[in-house]
Amino acid sequence: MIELMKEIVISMRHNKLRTILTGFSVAWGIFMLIILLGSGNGIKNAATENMSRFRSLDQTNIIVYANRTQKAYKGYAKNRQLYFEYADVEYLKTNIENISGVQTIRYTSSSASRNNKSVGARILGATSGYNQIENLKITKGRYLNETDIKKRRKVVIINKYAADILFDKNEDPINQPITIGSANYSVIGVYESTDNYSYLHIPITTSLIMYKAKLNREVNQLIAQTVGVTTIEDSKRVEEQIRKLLATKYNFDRTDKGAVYIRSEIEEAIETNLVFGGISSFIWLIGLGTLLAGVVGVSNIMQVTVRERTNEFGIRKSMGATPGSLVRLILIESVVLTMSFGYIGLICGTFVMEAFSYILDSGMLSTGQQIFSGSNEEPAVFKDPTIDLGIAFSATLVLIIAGTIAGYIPARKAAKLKTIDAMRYNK
Amino acid sequence: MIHIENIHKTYNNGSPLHVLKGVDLTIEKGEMVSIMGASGSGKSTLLNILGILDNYDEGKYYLGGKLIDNPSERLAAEYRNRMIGFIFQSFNLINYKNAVENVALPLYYQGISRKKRNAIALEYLDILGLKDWANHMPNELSGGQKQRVAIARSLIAKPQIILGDEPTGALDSLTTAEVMNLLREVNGTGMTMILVTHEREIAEQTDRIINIKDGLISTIEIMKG
Repeated sequence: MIELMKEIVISMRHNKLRTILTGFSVAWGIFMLIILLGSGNGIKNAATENMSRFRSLDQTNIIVYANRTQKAYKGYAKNRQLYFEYADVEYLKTNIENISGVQTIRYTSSSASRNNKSVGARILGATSGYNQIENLKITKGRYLNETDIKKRRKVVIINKYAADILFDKNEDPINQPITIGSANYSVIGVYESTDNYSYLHIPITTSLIMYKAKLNREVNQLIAQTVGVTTIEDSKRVEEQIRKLLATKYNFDRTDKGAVYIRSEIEEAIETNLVFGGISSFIWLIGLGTLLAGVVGVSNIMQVTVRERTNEFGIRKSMGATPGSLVRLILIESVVLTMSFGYIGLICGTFVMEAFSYILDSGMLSTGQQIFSGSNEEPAVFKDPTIDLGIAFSATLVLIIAGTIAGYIPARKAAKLKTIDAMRYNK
Repeated sequence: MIHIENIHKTYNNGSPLHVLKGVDLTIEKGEMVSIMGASGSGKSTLLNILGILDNYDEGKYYLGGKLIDNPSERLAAEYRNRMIGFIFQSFNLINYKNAVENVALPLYYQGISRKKRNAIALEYLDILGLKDWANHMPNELSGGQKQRVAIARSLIAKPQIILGDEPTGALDSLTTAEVMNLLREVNGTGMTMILVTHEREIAEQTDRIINIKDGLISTIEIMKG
């Protein structure tokens, strides 16, 4: 075996051009496959992250916004602003079996101040867990919890914009009081955002008391958590149930699509999945095409190699080479070549993708960063453009097997040729 | 050393071509024999059969007392490796191996380690006066040098016979004389040698000339002894 390897090394060293050409087509095939699949993964990862609210298909939300009616109904004029009630949580939960829980959001406007600094702010009356639905990145402190809601605590989570205005850079906002409207609240958390406006989250229960809600002006937004909703059809059915229940309760036309705006995460998720599934298959198709080109390249070169060496085979046979030993010579040379250059392609491809990934992560692209890596609000186009090493190794394996088969057929033919015919070949 | 009885060979390329029509021949150990004949007479076919490069259809072939009866490729390879040394008109050196590696090739197929076989090959090159050219590639050698490398290669496995297929066919007259002297020297060590040639001058330097005509031995001329 060692002798055979030495023999192969000599053959490869003395046929540099052939070795390099074969090697290049193999390395290039693997390299391109990794770049393509890595890019595909990058786009897919970014998309998955952008659909932050979408965690798994059986745990999605249907989000309902109260709007203005667009049709007159039962004596009510059109263009009437609708509001939901906090009590709708139970109303929807008991009437629709696919809804396991409902979050309520109440929007009000006010101003926030501290010491001599003041800023206009949007106040969100929210419930615990809303941060997960919106995928808020809490950088300091915590979000609202059940106790805050129950005890109607006067606590607030502020966004970065508000924190930057109300607090100095070296000040820690946590547990500091700020004034919203005329009442004092304690800051319990700060979240990362790129908004250019102040957003303050307080317990919905606190909001309902502090801003003296009339009974019909309580809540602007309902977020229904669904269970067992896995298809677009399921989702549409639940959406219709919600619309029907709300229409009955708030007296608007069931066919008035503008009165409440309903957004279904699962529909978005399925549609986006479909699009990215398409992109992914397309990238795979190109990748496999590249791999196929590599296979064809290797096959071609093996064919030529064998033809070129038929005469040599004849000489070797006259010196006592068995047909089996000749086939082995060609095959092992082909495998060694494909393996080593496949590995080089693998390393280069992985290195390029990792380097790209590193550049994205470190934010070295100052202007491009916005486009590529995104931020909380801006969707990322690219994220973690790396590839599963298993796939890369399988691809190399495919090339090796293809190279082996491509080498085996002509090698066996040439080895079986009568010694005398082989020696006369090409002469 | 060689004994053949009633050897027949027919090629089936389209229409059957009966090339050898019952050849009987005995060659003693240490003899140097030449085979002559016009092209198409069957002399090359006979040499190929003697060299186990081709099989025969009918008859018997004994090499060193052993019946060579259409052996498998594997066995044929073994026989060629151990018993026969070849010298060809076109040298048939492997162009990407240097002189030493070419000479050592038969030993590679005997499973001898690289270091050992290259050492042996170098000894043979030394005997043939090519020690200084040991690391040269075939394309850096003259025709005579190439043929000397080929002779070294044919000898290295200590075969029982050496078969030469027009060994001087590609050489000028001066080199031809050199190579023939060399072959006679090798024969002088007791090596049985069979040369196929169409040059009368070459043939006359051997012990016997076997003339082949239309697939049969027509005459045998005894040159000396």
